[in-house]
Amino acid sequence: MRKMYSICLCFVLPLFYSVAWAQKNAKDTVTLDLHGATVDQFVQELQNQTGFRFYYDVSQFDSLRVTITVTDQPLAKVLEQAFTGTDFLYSIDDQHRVFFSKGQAVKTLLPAGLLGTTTVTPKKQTDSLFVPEVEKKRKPNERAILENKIYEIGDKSVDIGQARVNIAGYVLDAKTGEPVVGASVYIEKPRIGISTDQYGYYSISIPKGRYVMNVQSIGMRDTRRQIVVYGEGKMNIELQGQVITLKNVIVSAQKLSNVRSVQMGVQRLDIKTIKQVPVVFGEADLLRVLLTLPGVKSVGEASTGLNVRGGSVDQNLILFNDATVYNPSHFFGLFSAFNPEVVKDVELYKSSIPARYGGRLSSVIDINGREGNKKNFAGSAGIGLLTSRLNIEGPLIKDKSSFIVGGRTTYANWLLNILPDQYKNSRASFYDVNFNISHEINKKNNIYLTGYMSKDRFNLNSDTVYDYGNQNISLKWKHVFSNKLSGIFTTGYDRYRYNIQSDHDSLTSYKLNFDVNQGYFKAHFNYYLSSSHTLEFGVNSIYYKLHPGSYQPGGGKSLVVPDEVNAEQGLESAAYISDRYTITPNFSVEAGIRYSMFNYLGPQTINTYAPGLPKETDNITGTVNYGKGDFIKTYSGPEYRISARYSFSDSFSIKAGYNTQRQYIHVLSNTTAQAPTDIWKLSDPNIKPQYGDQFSLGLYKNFKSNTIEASVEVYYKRIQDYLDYKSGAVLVLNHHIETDVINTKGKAYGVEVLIKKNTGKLNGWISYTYSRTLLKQDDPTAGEVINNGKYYPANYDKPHDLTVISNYRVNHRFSVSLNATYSTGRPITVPIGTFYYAGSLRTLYADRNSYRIPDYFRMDLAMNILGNHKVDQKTHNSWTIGIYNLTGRKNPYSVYFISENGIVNGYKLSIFGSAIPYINFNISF
Amino acid sequence: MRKTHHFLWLLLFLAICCKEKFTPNLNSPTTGYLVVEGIINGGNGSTNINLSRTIKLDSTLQHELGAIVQVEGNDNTTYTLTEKGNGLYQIDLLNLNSANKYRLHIYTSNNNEYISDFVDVKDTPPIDTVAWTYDGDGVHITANTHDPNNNSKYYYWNYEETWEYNAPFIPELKTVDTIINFNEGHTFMVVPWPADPSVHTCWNTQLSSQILIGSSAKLSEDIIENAPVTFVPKGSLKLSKMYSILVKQYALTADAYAFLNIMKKNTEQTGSVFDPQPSELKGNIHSVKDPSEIVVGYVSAAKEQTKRIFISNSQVQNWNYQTACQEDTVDPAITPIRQWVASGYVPVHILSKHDGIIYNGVQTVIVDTYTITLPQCVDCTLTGTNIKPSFWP
Repeated sequence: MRKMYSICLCFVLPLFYSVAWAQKNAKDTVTLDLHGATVDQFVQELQNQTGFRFYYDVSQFDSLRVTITVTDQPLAKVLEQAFTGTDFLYSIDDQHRVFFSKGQAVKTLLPAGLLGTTTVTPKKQTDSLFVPEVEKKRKPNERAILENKIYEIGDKSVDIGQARVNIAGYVLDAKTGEPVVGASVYIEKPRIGISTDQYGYYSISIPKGRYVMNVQSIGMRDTRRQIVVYGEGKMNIELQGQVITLKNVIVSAQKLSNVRSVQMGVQRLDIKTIKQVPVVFGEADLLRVLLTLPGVKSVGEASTGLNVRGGSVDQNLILFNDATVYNPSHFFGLFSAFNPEVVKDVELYKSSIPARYGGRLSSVIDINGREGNKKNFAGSAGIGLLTSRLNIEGPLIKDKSSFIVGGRTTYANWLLNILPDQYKNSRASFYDVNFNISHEINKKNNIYLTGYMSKDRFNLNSDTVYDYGNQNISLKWKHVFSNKLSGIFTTGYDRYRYNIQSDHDSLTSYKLNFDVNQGYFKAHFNYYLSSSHTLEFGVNSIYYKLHPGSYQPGGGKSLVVPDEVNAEQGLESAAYISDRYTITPNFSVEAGIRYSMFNYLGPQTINTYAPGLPKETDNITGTVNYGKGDFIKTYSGPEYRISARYSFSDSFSIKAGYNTQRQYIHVLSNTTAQAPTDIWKLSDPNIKPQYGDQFSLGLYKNFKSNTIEASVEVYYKRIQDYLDYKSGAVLVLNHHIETDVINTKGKAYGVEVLIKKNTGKLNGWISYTYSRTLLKQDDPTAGEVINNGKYYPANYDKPHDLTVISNYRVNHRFSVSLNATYSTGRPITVPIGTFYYAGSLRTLYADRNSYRIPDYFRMDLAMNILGNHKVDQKTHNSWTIGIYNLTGRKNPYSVYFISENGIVNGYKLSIFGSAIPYINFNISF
Repeated sequence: MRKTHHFLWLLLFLAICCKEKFTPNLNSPTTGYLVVEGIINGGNGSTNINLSRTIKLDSTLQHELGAIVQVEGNDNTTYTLTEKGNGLYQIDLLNLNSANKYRLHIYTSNNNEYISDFVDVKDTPPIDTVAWTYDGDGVHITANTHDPNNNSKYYYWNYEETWEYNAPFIPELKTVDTIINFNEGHTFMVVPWPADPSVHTCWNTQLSSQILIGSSAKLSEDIIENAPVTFVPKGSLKLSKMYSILVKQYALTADAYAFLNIMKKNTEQTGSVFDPQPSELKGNIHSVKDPSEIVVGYVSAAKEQTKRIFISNSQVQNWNYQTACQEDTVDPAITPIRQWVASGYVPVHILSKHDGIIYNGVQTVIVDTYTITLPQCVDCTLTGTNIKPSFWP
């Protein structure tokens, strides 16, 4: 049924002609309330109300279902709304005729240049009666609003003499004016494309001529722009959110980013997806959603520490608006530290880590905060069982600058009060506050100021109070030098601190403080050299200052001797350059090199050890004192980031990558789960930096018009000089901590399979991972040998891991999510025997991690119920009701053996031993 | 001691509903490593060294018998301990010279030889007080000490608890014979019981089963304040009449303290969410033949200091000791006494009776209804000793 439009017109026209022309009183506004109407119903309604005549090919439009509610809206706007996100187009001529078409708009006027050269189009072409009205509202920087309008870029009268020209601009959310990150902007024939950066900025180099520029982004309706390119120019494009949907029109177009991008091992989740996934206590938690992705694991439910592809928890760089967050958890790891209301999306890099990131071995988790609404004041509030949150956003100067402020707090004490008596005096609380101010100085300059602060405080019916928190502030300036070159300059300060103190006065009362501080500067440049080369380069530098422990008397009676471990200083600097080189449309390579350098700075006192002997206090040969600013030790080296992609077809590609990483700051911990009181330590002359490299290979295939993405990735990773602790290590207030840690080697390998469906009534993903993480310590001169120097599984080595995330949208106001996750139990060390000592039978341990706790299985259910959908009402509300751990399975967190009353008892500990229902109420205004 | 990460326990509590006994089927290898426990006592009192072997999970304790155990000084003095059975090797009153170092030398019956490192004899300061407080939960017993010379810093305690108690019931009657039975199932022969006072009051002794250690290393003065020793929960039998505790204190070297601390963490302080991996236990005893052989234990030498206190029931108000013993009323008409006796019960009180025959010259009674209980509820020697300890007031 692929008849030419004009032919169809001939059949259709007479039919309508007779019906429609009779109505003389044509009016151009309509009021509609349609739900899933067919094209015939839709047109009938429009025709009745306007008296316009409609022309379309029934066979092309039979898949269209229109759901729309409008009151007294111009016809053009109604049609635009009905068709946005589809490739259906319309044109209206001055004869009150409306033409529906697919792919290309019907020209209602003959282009003036039609008889001349084919590439020239009139400068001010009017496609329909109503476009001039729309254009009156145009902003100075000319946001392209209509898909069937032809935009001219550059001055056609000036021949700039280049074959290729550069077009740049921002892709923005039409409703809020916020930038759309990661939208793909591309033309076809020749196929040239680019993704917007985190500010929604794109820059694309294309030959002069006429094109259809396509813009796509997850969660937004796809759109396209007709452009005629004469020279360099700017074009900002607004995308509509998928608030009002056209049911049953599969807007698939080309969601190909996973197949097309060069990078591999990258996952992006937007907050909408994150919020759909049920979590315990109903608080949307982006770290927990990351845990459902292949290759991401944790030791158990009480830990938000992520182990990415066999890396330890401290090998993840967690960036929140460029600020490093050292402790991403609240409340013993039950909540992540990020307020879902101010988060826009999160990107996880686990394989091809871009050259601009460095300093951690395993992954980069880049969390982007939302920018405030630049057009209207808005806000939202949520009430849950344990937490409440509020955020407010709005313009400071309309369309120029905006702010967003969000806060969360908890009232978990009731939970503690219902616990057994021995915890009745326990208290726990946390809060976090975010703000983000963005300002557009002019077209070329934007600045952003963001801040984050969190605090946790608890005591456990004892006299000891724990207190920890993050503080981050950053200032960012984005400058567009030219269409081809843009730069981002960021400076900021990050701090993580904790303290432990006794709240009553006794001989032993004390106060222990610890903090990590870093100040940083980053300069990053994007240079769009040509359509086949995109360069990124820059420098960054971090100055660290750590106070690794200060122990002070806690009161007047206290006899505690003040003790303080010397502050540590270090400077980590890096310069990098990477090039994304599109060799052919099917084959492209991204290669980068990052040269990083770490200087350990004075003042400091360094122990020297006899060479060839274990670093033990007995082997200290002397100490060396260094003054302020002295360069005590410098480590440096190149890091390679290479990945390549070859596309066999539009929906199938293969990618390979190799990357290396260096890490100069480490967590020292002897606990299985990440604890807020873990110690961070800089590399120094006695503690080498960690080094890791990874090979990976992946296959990417999209099915069903790209609505289903599938990928298989394999990787092999090596880790050197990972720090483990010796038996009986003292990590707190240790003045010679190198004597209590050992360097271990690690290797990790695995296969990750992900099948993802982003659209449709039923969406979600299935991820399966087979992976192993093995560690080894076999150097007798380094201290003790673990498991006779053989490889042993890491704590988080869980070979099989299967997660299913599904969401079914019953209708626009009601959706159901069901998750299921299964994984192999984690390894633990179990006793090989018992012995009698100090009045009791006691367990004898050997063979680290030789046993596994029972397998893990959990299923969660959540229902999202939205209030009515009227766009114009003042507030929107929604309820989330769910059950975490639906089957009530007592998933073991650990199995342990303890000597009680003289005998050894084995126990199984589960964090959540039953189904946990929750309810949340959200309101936005 | 307070510094242990208490917060680790919060998650434990969150999980309290979900902690359950679990005995995985572990295929543990046969180990049989030598375990050496004891402190060379350089002061008053005897030196007790216990030798045993590591065993498989769920098997019974294996004492090391027939070994020769000697204390050797670096001045070439040698003291041989006497085997007392059950793996205990003992010697009374070693007069050790604090200027010398000492070690343990063990020859096992399987012709292996083990020696410990030489250790200093630590001079333990006396226990200042063994203090106790009574709150709503029970009696907390703590130790206090100080070393004016600032030399001790690391301390180890163990204790012996002794308590006096009564059997809950004094029975009135006793089965003498069940042969004579006029009417099977309805009557039986008892004689009035002349209550035997010797099985009514007893004493029981229990040794510490936890590793009790403390340190003042982080303090400016060598003072230990209220180091927890033990806890007697309210209502416990231990304080139903009179309770006594003998606390023994030893000063340790930093290494010996570290050894016990690791053992304590491995075996008593595990199970929280932020759970350290069990650490390897490295002692100071080595096989002469094969230095890589695992030997569990750390030999220390110290002068023992002791202190005993008594707490009587009258000092703890509303102690509310409730016996777990129960009297059940039975009717011989329903269940013959023979059946109760066969299941291990004894008669306690007569509720109604009439005279029976003269049996062996004794007037018997025929009991219509009576009460029964478990034997340990009338005879305390089944759970303790009726020999009064020499230190008991």
